[in-house]
Amino acid sequence: MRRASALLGACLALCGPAWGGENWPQWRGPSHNGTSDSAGLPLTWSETQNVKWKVPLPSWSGATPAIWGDRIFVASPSAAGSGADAPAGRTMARLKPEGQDLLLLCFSRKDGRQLWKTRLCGGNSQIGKQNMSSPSPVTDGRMVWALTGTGVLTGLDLEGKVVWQEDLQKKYGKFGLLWGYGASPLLWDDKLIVPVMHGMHTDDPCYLVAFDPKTGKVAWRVERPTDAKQESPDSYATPVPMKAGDRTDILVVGGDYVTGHDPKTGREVWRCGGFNPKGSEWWRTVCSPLPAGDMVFGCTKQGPFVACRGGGRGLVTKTHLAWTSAEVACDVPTPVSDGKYLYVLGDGGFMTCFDPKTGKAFYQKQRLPRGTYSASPLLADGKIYVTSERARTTVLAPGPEFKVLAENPLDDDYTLSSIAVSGSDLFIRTSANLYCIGKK
Amino acid sequence: MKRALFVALSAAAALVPARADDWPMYGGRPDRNMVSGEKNLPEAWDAAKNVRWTADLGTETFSNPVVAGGRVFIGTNNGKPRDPGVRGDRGVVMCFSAEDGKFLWQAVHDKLPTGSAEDWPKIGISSTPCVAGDRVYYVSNRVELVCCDALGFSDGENDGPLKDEKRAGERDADFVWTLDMRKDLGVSPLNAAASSPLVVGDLVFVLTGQGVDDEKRTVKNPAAPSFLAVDRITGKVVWKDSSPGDRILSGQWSSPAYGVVEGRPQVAFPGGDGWLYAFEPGTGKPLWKFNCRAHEKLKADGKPETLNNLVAAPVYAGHRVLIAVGDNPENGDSPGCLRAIDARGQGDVTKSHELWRLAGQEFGCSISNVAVHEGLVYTAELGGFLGCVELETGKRLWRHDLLATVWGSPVVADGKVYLRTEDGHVVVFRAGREARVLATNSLPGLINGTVTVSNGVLYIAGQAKLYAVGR
Repeated sequence: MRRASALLGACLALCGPAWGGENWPQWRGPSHNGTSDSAGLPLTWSETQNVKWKVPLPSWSGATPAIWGDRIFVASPSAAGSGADAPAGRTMARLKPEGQDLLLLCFSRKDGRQLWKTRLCGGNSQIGKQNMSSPSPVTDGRMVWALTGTGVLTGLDLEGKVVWQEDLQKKYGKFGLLWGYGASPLLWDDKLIVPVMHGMHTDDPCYLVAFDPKTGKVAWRVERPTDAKQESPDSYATPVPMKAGDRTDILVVGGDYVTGHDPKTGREVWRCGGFNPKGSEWWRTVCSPLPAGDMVFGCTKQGPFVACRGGGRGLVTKTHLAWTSAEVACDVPTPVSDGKYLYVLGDGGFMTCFDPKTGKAFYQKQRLPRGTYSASPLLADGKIYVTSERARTTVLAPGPEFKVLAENPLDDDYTLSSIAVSGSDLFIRTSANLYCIGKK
Repeated sequence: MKRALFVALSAAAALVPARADDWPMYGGRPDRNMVSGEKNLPEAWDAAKNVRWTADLGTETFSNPVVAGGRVFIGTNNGKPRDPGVRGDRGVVMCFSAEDGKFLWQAVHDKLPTGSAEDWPKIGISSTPCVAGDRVYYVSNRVELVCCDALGFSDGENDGPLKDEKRAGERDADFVWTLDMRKDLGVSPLNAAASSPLVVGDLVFVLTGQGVDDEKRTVKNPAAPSFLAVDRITGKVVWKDSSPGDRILSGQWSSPAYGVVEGRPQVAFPGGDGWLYAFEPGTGKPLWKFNCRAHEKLKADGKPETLNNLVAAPVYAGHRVLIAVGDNPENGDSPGCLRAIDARGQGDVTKSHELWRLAGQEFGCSISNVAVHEGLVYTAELGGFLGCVELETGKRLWRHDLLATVWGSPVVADGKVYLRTEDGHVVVFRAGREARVLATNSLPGLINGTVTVSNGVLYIAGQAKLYAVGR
């Protein structure tokens, strides 16, 4: 049984496309890279066109929905005005008020009807761009897992009943990130892997911890050392698996390095530097690593954008750092690639297309509609979807030429969440609503 | 009496720079209009070409260099301690020889115990100093208005009233007086105090930095002043004003400007509430005020469209004042507004004295000063544009996409417009009614900032290095 589940996990990750794009089990989708093999996705929409349904959400969040079968799982704080509002800490003044509880909600994929709502814990607060609900939920179709920015990790059954719950801060010490915790857990090889990468407000080490997804029992926990200082150890990135020959490495980025880990033990197999050549102490990592073919791509703040070859052993900066670009950077959005082209979305709305092997830019820093871009791009059905914080999604043609196919506005002013895909529909989470968008 | 004295002084004060080729304060002159009459300035350079000298700063630098009397002054941090006896995180102002970049002296300030709430780690001193005669004025990381001897202790004198300096070596600052705006006036800044003082006649004008509380997002002590006029000799407060009060939206990191409009001297303070306030300089009597956010529509929920306020400094150009609205640049691009205001009014002139504005699709959020030259307004937007607008009509002539975030301000000199971008470039445009890029220059370690022009040399500060660029 356990073996079957491991197989299922492996299949989800590596043969994601074979699952027909019906499910979007975790943050970057079935293939952990923001791509989907779905077909028939909509090109254009608006509030009055191609919206199959929309459902109001209690509050805004950076978390992306997870989808399995007829169920959509959405993390959110409770609504403002339901008791005392969440404290607005050191944050952008324009964040909307919201409640203090952290929730997991389940909606019907078919019509957006709310199936259940479970309170995970209290303690929501606002900090920087986010609240305490940034980690995206994860599901394998039998259970669903939710992590909060307060460090509460919960395994639930599909009816919303809590099976187990663990408080990481109670167990391992306080999180010490400058802008609050925001990584999503990774479900891989029958383990639920959680990174805690911090340094700004703590002298505790960075670590990775893996749980048995069914019971919450700790499978392993390893320190993930860094020589980065001050804020630079802080990372908001989600780990991703990468196939490298006959082994799979779990990629973790932060503290000026990307590292590859053995999923069975958490042991570090390799690490590559090059993310912080100026040695800045403010070089926190937000976007996640992107594996494509035998390469890993990543970036911190204003760059450089880093490409390194996976599959190494030990410190591989000298041998495996393939190319860097000082001109291009992505701070929050994670890049996307089909293996042939690599698309890098800069936060200011600048799109670059690289040859992933050589770093040659087919086009560099082409301007999207004005705005700030925090959601990560989606590559699916021969289209690239990029959504601005104002919920305007630009659709680009893939390939070596920058070509805008459509621009699709929705009513909103603070969208952080990346698009999820299921079947022929897109699921867009704005600050107010969850939209199911598909050809009608 | 005081007023008459002030008016008499202010005529002379407009000529404060000791030499025409000095750049002694943020914006170069009290009107904050970054236009220089210098000629024969470099157009292209790199690390190997046209760099006259390089000097080490700390590791983070948000102040701009100013130049007066053969000396360069700049705020930085203590990331690379000049004094082996002074280690750890501090706010620092350094003084260099303009000729060869030789380090002359530094002023050092301990961090505030309140930490990032009021004094962000490693940020150093973000205030751009203002030099008037033999005195240097700046706002320290401790929210003090500081007056130092520009010569340090090299003149063999310890100028006072403040004479008990902890450090009094030949490379230490000779403090003349300090005014603790936090302790003595109840000011509490948001994350940093950053205003650049303005000296006109016998007065120093400064924004205190009063802001919202880092956690609660409300103004702790709304009665504490936002705007201040201080006797530049004694350091005593002459007048203060707390108009933005509890309506401050986040911080107040901007700086005042001074102009004489049809014979009437005025000092304009950009408020953290989005209003621009003009006062009679000698007395603090309010002259006019303008709501720079008046164009914004309320959203469906009754909330404002943005929380933009005034981060750029106002610029006086004849009877006009120009200023852009913006926000903490960390909050990203948003709709903004560039405003041209007739400065001849009285009272609330929001409705009566708007000359023109660019907003919506026409103008994004900006924290850059405009530069006005020969009837043209050069204006930068945070989202990565340099634009040119007709001063008379507000008609946009061009808008160039720099494809990189802009924090700094355009500077017009020698028929060129110099603008820095976050990519570390200094882009050089030809000044004029058509967009034309002459050169894009890079130097190691640059991010944001504004070019300073003095004596045929461009002074350009990176985070850790100060470059002097000249032919």
